[in-house]
Amino acid sequence: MWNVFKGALTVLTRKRELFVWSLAFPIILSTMFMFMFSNLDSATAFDPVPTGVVADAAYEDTAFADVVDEMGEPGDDQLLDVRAFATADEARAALSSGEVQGVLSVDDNGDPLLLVTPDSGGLGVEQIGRTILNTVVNTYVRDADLVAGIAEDNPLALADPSHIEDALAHGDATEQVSLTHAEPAQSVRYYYALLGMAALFCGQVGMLAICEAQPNLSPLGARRALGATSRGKTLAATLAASWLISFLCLMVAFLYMRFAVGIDFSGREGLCVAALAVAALLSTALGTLLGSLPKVGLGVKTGLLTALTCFLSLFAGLYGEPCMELADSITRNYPLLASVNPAKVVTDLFYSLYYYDSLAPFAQKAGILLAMAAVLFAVSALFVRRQRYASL
Amino acid sequence: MQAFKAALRIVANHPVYLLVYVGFLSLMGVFITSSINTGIDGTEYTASKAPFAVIDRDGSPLSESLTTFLSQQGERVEVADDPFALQDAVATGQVRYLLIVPEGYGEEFMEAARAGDAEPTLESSFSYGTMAGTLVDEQVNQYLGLVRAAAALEPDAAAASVLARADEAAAATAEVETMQTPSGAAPADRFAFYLQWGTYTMTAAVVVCVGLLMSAFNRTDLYRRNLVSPMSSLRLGMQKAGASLLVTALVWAISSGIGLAAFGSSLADVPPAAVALTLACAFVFALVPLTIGFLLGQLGASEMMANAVGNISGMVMSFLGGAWISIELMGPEIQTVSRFIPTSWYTDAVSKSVHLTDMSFASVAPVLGDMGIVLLFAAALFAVALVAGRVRMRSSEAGGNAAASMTAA
Repeated sequence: MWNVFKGALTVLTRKRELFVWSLAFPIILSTMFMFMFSNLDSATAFDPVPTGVVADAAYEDTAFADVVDEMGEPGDDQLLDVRAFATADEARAALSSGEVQGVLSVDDNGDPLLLVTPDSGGLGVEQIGRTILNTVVNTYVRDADLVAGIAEDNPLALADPSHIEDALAHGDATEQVSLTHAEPAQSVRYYYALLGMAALFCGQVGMLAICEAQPNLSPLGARRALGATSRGKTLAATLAASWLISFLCLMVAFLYMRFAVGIDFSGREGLCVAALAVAALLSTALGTLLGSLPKVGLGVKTGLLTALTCFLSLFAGLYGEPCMELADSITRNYPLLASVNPAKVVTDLFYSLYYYDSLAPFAQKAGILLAMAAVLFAVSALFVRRQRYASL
Repeated sequence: MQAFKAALRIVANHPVYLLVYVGFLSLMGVFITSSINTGIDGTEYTASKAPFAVIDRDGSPLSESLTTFLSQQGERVEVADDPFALQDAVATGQVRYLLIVPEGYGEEFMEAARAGDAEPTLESSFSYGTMAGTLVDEQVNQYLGLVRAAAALEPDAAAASVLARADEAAAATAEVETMQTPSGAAPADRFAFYLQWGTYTMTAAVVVCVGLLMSAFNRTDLYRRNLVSPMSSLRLGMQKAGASLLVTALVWAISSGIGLAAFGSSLADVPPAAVALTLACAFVFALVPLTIGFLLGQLGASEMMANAVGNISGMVMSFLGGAWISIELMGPEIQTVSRFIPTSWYTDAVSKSVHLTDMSFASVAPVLGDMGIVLLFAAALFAVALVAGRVRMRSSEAGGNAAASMTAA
C-alpha cells in the first residue's frame, strides 16, 4: 500500500499542469488582490471631512464658527478638516475642484448655510462626507431651534445663560466597542473566498488521481487494475496521496497569504491549518466524484470542474463587492442553500475563525464539510467499485 | 478547406468551453456591471442613508423615539439580538453601525440629564468603512444632545414632553444649496464598463478555444501525418488561422451581443458610428488572445494548459488593464506595468470612444492610436508564435527534423 501511495504521489507530482491550478493560481490571484485591495480598507475608513468655510465678516465670531472650530481641532474626535477661504468665490472654486467636500458659511441673518456638489450615490466616502457636514449644520440649527422653542414657552428656564451652555455642551453619548473577535475588514473576506476557490480547484488533483486509477480512463489505470493489490487499497492509497498534495498546495497558498501578502488570520493560524486539512478532504472527494463519472473524457471533466468552481465561487462572493453582497444576502435568507455550497462553507470556515469569539460555528462548518466529503465519497464509490467494462 | 472544417469541428465538439467561458462569463459581466455604481451624478444633493441597527433592550420611550429619529436619517435593518447575528451584521457590512441600548437606559439618561450629571453611554459598534459608522454616530449624538438639553433646561417637564420638544427641534433643517458641477460621467459608461470587464471573458474564452483547436493538431502522430500530407504547411497554417479567427469573431459577437442586449439602451446618446468604433475596438482586442492561443498551440501546450493559461492571463490582463478597479487607484509601479499590457490601451480606447460626440478625424484619432498599439501587441505575439512554431517543428519531441536525425543516428 505504501508503494501505491508513493507511486500515486509520483504520478501526480509529474503532472505539471496540475500545479498551475492548484498552486500557481491562488498565488497569482492573491498577488492581484494584494494590489487591488491595498487601498480598500483605508479608502472607506473615517478621515476628517475636508470642509471649506467662508471666513467673512458674517461668519467670524458667530456661535456657529465656534462649533466648527471645535470640530476641526486636531485630536481623536476631530470630525472636520477645516480650510478657511476669504471669499465665497474662492470657496466655490475649491469645492468645484474637489479640494473640499462642502462649504460652510453664515448668511446675513446669521443662519448657517451649507454648499455641496450633487449626490454621487451609494455610500461613497464623498457622499457620506457631505452628509456628515449636513448633520453638523443640522445639529447646530436644531439646538438653536430647541432653545428658541423653550424661550417661547418657558422663558424662565433660560434665565441662566451658563446653564444653557452646559445643557448644549456636546459630550459623547456613545462608546465604541468591538463585537467581533477581530476588527471588521472588507478585504480579508476576499482572501477567504479565494481560499474557497483554491480548495475547489484542488479537486483537479483528486480527479486526475482517479482517472489514473480507473481501468477504463487511462492505460495506467488499466495496468493497475491488473495488479495484485486490492482495489480498496489502491483507491485508499491514491486518495491519500491526492489529499496530501491538495493539502500541501493549499498550505503553500495559505502561507503566501499570511506572510507575503500579510493577511490577518487573527492569531488562529493553527486552526486555519486544520481548516485547510478539511478543505483538502472535500476537494479530494469532489475530484473523486468528477473523476469517476463514467463515459466522460478528462477534458470535459476539467471543464466541468472549472465551471463548477467559478459558479460556486460567485456565490462565495469572490468577484468583488456586488458578489459579496449577493452571497451575504443568500446566506441570510437561504442559509440552507449557502451551507450546501462548498466554496461558501470553506470561505466561512476562515470567516468564523476571524470574526467569532466562539469556536462552535467553526466546528459546525467543518462538520458540514466532512459530511459533504462523506456523501461525495459514497456516491463516487458507486462509480469506482465493482465496475465491469464490456469492452475489456 | 478540410483542415479548416476539422478545426471548427474540434471547437464544436467542446461546447462546455464555449458555454462556460463565453456564456457564463458574459452573464457574470452583466451581473457585475448592473450592480456597479458608475458614479453618474444626480443633479441635487440628497443625504446618504447608511444601514444601521438598533438593538433595543430597553424599550423605553427614549429608545423608541431615538430609533424613530434614526430611521428617518438612515436605513434601519432588523438584526436579531443574538451574539452571532450581531457579529455577522457588522462583519459583513449588513449594517455599518450597530447601537445597543441596555435595559433601564431611558430612565437613567433622563435622570442624569435633569440633574446635570454625566449621562450613561451607549455601546456602539462600527462595521468596516468607518466613514458611514461615524455619520450614524453623529446622528445619535445629535438626537441625544437635543433630549439632554431639553431635559436639563426644563428639569420638571415630563419625559413625554421632553421627547416631544426634542422631536420638534429635530424637525428643523439647515439650508443646503447644491452647486452644479460639470459631470464627466455618461450613461454609456455602463456599456463601456461591461466591455472593459469583458476583457476577462474574451481573453479566457478565445485563449481556451484557440488553444484547444491548436493543441488537437499537435498530437505527435497526427502532426507527422499532416507533415507528410501533400498540403503545404503554409496552407495548413492558414486554414488553422482562419478557423481560429472565425472562433474569435464568434466569441466577440456573442460577448458583445449579450452586452448590447443588456446595456444597449445606455447607448442612446452615442452616435451609431461611435458604437461601431467601440465594437471594433473590442474586436481588435480579441486578436490579442487569439495570438496568445496561437502561441500556446505553437508551443505544444495541452488542453489543460490552455485552460489554465487562458483563465489566469485573462484575470491578470483584465486586472492590470484597469477593468476590475480603476488604474488610478493602483500604486505607481502597477500603473507603469499596466502600460505594457494591451488591456490598458483597450480600456482607454473604449472609454474614449463611448464619449465621442462627433466623428471627425481629430476626435477619432486618439482611439485609432490606442487600437493601433493593441494591434501591434497582437502582431508582436504573432511573430513570436511563428518563430516558436518553426523551432518546435524541428525538435525531436514534436516529430520534426531532429527526430528524423535521431533515428538515423
